[in-house]
Amino acid sequence: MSSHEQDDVLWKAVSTLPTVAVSQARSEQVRLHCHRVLERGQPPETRAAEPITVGTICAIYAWHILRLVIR
Amino acid sequence: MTPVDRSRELALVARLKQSDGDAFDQVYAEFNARLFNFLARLCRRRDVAEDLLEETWLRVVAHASKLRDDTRLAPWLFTIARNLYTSYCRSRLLDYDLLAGVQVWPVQPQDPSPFEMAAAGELQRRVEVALATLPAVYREAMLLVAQEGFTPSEAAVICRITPVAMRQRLRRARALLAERLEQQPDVAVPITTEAFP
Repeated sequence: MSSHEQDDVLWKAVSTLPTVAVSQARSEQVRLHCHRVLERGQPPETRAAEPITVGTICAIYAWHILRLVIR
Repeated sequence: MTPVDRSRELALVARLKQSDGDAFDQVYAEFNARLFNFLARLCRRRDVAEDLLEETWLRVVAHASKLRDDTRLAPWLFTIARNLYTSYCRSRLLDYDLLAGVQVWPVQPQDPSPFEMAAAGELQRRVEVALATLPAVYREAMLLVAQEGFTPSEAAVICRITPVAMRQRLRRARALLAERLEQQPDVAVPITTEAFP
């Protein structure tokens, strides 16, 4: 922020507004929760099926439907 | 940020990427109150702010391993918090303006004199009320730059707009705030001074 803006009365009034206090009990609860997540480690990355696999499954499925219709 | 602070920040980022609990605690201690203050003033509901704050930290630990080495922590954390707030509003189809008027519970600064308390308290109360009536886009701009000390360019990144648009937003926010204060009786706030000319 430039000195021009810092000198502005309104700007100063906003910058000196009192802080909204956070609940200490809730904060500690959240901190511990985050620690548990950190300790568990990252979840395994989900693997997307290869397009060729999806295509093959679709083709087999379509072939079975076609066979049923032909009969 | 000074070079020393920046090197400490880079070290914290590196440790966060390794899921280091102590590094997380340091970041948490430094930013938890600031993030809550920002969220509480944005949504003006303590319960919602607390939920969004918890979700913010859970996102932090979930994505810490994917951080870039040169990540600036403050803008990153405030971006997460701000995005969660906008998602919250969208999920409930809330118009930002409809959320006006809900009280938060500010803490008085430490050991002010009785005179300072009377004078500052009155102005602060009025500014608080006027700020709460601003549309969220203007309120978040003012909070990020005036309260949290981000530069307009950093705030622009957090809000996903251009620096020019952020400066324009700040000018409008300041003008609107002055207008709202003028509507309250007995408030002497100059409205001719243009911030971010």
